[in-house]
Amino acid sequence: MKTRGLPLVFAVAGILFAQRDRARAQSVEYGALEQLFGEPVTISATGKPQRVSEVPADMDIVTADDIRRSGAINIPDALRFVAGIDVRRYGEADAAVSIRGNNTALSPRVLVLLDGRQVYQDDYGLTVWPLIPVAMEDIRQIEVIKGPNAALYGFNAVSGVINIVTYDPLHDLINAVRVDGGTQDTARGEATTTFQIPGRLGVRVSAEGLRSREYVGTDALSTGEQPRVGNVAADVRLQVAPGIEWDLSASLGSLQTQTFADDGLFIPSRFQANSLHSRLAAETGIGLLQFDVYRNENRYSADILSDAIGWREDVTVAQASDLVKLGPNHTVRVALEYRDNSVASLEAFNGRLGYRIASASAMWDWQITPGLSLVNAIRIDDLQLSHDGAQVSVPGVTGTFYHDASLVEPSFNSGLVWKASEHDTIRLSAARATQLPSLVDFGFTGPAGALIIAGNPGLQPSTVMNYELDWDRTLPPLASTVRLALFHEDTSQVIGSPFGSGFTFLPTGQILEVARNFGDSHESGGAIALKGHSGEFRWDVSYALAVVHDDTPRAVLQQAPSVSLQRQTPTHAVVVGLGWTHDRWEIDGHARWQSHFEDYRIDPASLSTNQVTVPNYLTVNLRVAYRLTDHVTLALTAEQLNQHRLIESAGLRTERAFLVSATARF
Amino acid sequence: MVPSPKRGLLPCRRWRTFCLSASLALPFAFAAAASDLPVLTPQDLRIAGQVLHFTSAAPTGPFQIAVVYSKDSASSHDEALAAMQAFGTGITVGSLVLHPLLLEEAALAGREDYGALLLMAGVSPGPVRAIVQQRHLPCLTIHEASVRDGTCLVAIRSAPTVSIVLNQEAAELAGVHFATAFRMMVREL
Repeated sequence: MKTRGLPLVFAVAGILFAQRDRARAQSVEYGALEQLFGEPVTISATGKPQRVSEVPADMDIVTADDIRRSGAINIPDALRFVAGIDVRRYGEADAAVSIRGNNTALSPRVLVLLDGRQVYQDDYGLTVWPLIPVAMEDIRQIEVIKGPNAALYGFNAVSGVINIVTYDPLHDLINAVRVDGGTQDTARGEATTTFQIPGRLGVRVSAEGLRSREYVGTDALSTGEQPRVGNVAADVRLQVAPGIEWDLSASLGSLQTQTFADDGLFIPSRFQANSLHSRLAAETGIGLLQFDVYRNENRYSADILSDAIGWREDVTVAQASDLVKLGPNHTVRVALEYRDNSVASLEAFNGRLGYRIASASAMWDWQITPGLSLVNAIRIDDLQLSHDGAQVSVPGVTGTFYHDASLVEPSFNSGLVWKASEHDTIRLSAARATQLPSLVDFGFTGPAGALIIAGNPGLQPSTVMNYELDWDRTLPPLASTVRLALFHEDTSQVIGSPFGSGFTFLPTGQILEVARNFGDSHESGGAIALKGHSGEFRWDVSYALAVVHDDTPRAVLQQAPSVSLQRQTPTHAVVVGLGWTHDRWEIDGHARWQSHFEDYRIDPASLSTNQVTVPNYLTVNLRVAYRLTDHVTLALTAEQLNQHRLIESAGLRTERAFLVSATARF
Repeated sequence: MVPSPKRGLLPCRRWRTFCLSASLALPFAFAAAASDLPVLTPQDLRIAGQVLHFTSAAPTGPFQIAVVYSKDSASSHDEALAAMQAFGTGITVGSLVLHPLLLEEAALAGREDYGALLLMAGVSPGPVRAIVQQRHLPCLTIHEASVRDGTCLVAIRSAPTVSIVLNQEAAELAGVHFATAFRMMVREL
């Protein structure tokens, strides 16, 4: 019966789709546009499709080739050698990724998206990288916007945005199986397959799994939890009619690992993340209309000082936008967004805590002359915070602890792009963005042993003002492009989470931790990066500078080091990369040197905060790959080749790793 | 199946060997005699194919594009022969296979076996514009002036960086619609 049924299904589908008109180009067809212009294309900077060389922002695109040549088996490792990105590993499956410094254990200032769906978790203000449901082979490009971009994305796009873009199953046929094995008892596999009715329907299903051994023997705080990751994702794209495309994607994921939280402790954690995303895009007489609805369900459970806690976060987002070209020189995008975000837990939030955000935004791109354009974007977010459940008593808080709160925050991005010559592009930009306190910051409550931990519904968001000047120059004799970026950024009222704002010793003998706002922080810096390729060779060299100054007194930051952006930012970082392809061989090496910074961890016995100096370090990665057949590639990747053990953070010492990979693409 | 020309429009129809040899030598002759004239490259032709992908009636499979020149202009003729050489046996762009059809401008109206125009220099604007508008045909060229005056719809250039100029008004008059995303990424007049 099975053998007879399946062809029948395909036959019916074929008849259905054969009756439709020939498909028209999709609204934003990355692959075709990239081929046309000979460079990556993005919509992440303004919402408008643009060549990466023309966006009004400092943006890097990590392509699928870059990812393959890095040998990375996770996204943080693929980003490790991008200029201006700071990847800090606390454990085998626990990394914090920041843009332009200001890194912390959770790194709440970088908004991370997968095909436009937020995978940044608002509950605690972090991105759980292993839980992003994407196989490495599915990734078309990772777009890194350096600097605020809240006028497009809203809250938390403060230090930057990382948008992971996958291949389009309607147009890109990706079938691949990859297995990796190596030191740390690492065993990893991923598989992705695509089914297509050309021009009508594309379905991609992918799965990945990882088991590994945590770094050992270096830190008494380690909980012994071993990393286990599993993700499954499906993406269906249907050409409903000429110019109308529907995309439905869903994912399930789970992660078990220890995580280094902003209190300076490892916590044995279990995460689950499920998502459903529907997108309808239509090319109409009034522009490109797009309607997105998605829902993220994140479950978290952990043991903190012998107490089990956990919560469930539900995020529902509805977005509608219209992108239209008005005459030859004006492009306008208007958008509305509604977001409902809540966490529910009796032991952690005494009920349900959540907020609703209504947003409106507009972007105007004005091509003033063929070589000069001005982009202005504004956005208003209106947030209403509320709590359902019983009140709690927190020492020092008079009146009711949980109370409704309302915030209205504007944000903007303005950028002037001047093509000064055929080889020179200059960008001048200013932006305002807002970092929203996480739901834990707003209202976590719970005793943990002698500790009383409490959020703060009265917390204020932290605003960021950014000013930037960039210069890109192509250097034909060197087959390279060089980019110089200079920026200054002011951050107001840095947010401290309840776990990272310091201790207050109460007369009762208890210890109180309450979320609060701290002083301002200022950062100046820049980067110069050269990238090129010629014949069989490719290279990149970059230097990034980040000088941070915190206004909060040192004595205060001593007790709340998680908000000391100054101490936690390495001032200098240098990246050098060289690659060579010849016949069936592909060899790539990258080295990164960065200057020292201060991290911290807690001594659980005394509950004192201990500064940990992470000294200057150099790390070298190398990948050698051999294309066995047209479809099968074998690769050996060495991570941290130059050092057996390395202090990258206050977490565990990372260990040299060797990975053998076999990838079949067909 | 690619339709082939029904009748010869050039002496080359009769003296293939001579013309082929002459065509192969043409780029070198151009380099010496007319180095200031833009010459269509295979990369330009690939871009032309990719531009067609973003029309509302995006072609797939074998597709014939008329290479239109003026018999009264030696440089136009030479440019057309260089374009024919750049095409070779056809240019494949994704699922589209572009085949050239060499046509003198006066022969445009009498033929219907092409789906787009590739305009050389020196061609009279009037007849081409009329054909483009009557038959709703995309017209591409490397001569931006032909797009500025509305004869042709899209000017393409592949080096040093890809540049595409669209005359949207002319495209609307011709009833040729380009994808909105494409329009947002090119320079419109």
